[in-house]
Amino acid sequence: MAIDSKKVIELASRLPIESNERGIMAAFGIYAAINYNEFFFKAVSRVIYKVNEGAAQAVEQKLYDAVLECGNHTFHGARTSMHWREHILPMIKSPEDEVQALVVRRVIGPTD
Amino acid sequence: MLVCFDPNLNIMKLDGVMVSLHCHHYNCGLVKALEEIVEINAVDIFVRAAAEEFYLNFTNYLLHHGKDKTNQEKLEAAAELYRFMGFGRLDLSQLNESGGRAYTDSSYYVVGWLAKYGRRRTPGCHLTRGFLAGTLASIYGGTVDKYKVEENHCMITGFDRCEFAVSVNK
Repeated sequence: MAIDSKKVIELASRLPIESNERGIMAAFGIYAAINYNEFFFKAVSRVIYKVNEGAAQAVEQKLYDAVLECGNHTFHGARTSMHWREHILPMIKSPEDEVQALVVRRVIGPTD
Repeated sequence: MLVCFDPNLNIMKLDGVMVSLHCHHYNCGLVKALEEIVEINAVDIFVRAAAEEFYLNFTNYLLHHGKDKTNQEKLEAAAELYRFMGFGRLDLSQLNESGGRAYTDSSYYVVGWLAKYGRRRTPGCHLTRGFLAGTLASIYGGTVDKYKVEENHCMITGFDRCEFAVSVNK
């Protein structure tokens, strides 16, 4: 593969993803927000623990779907960005390269 | 506030605490999934989890950066944390130890929900309720459940700004 993973991470880590004066962080066609990992663990695990198995499975499916929607929108936004075309696209020689570049970039982009 | 990314461990930290950068498709999807649960009040669990985390981490922040700050300056630091994390713009100037009113004229959950699902008839800034409860307890002292926070008005229902009523739990 032609993808330089370290270079992709280094490029992505320098992206100016930060909130504006109104406290809104927009990037790649999505709105991002920083939150504590422990918050998500607590909220979801406590809910799953309190409901019956059927409801728990339904919640898990909805969260799974939310992740799919996130991945779809965020990856689409990333791979159609000027930054991608300028820095990443020249490295891509095959569909597998593009997948690898997206996965590497995802390490520091919006995660879900 | 300082965000650090460790490319070797693939982790991101805000002031030394592990955080994630999530998009509105996930954050609003999580809220929607919890709101649709009928067996329990999952939104209250969501608010409580937020209050605990902001209480813990803002207390830690104040230990390192808040020793010489007045309560008003601590409120301003809380609003700056809220903005920095991408949740919007908060006006906490009308709060005191007894509670009061807080306002936002820019809200992540309003913007994200409108983009993903459109307008709704009920308030949706649940995370802000937890943020206010947690950070106020941190600033004024007391346990994490010291304050009760309700969202009286929300921009997502058509108001010009979101309004939060804060009171001390009896």
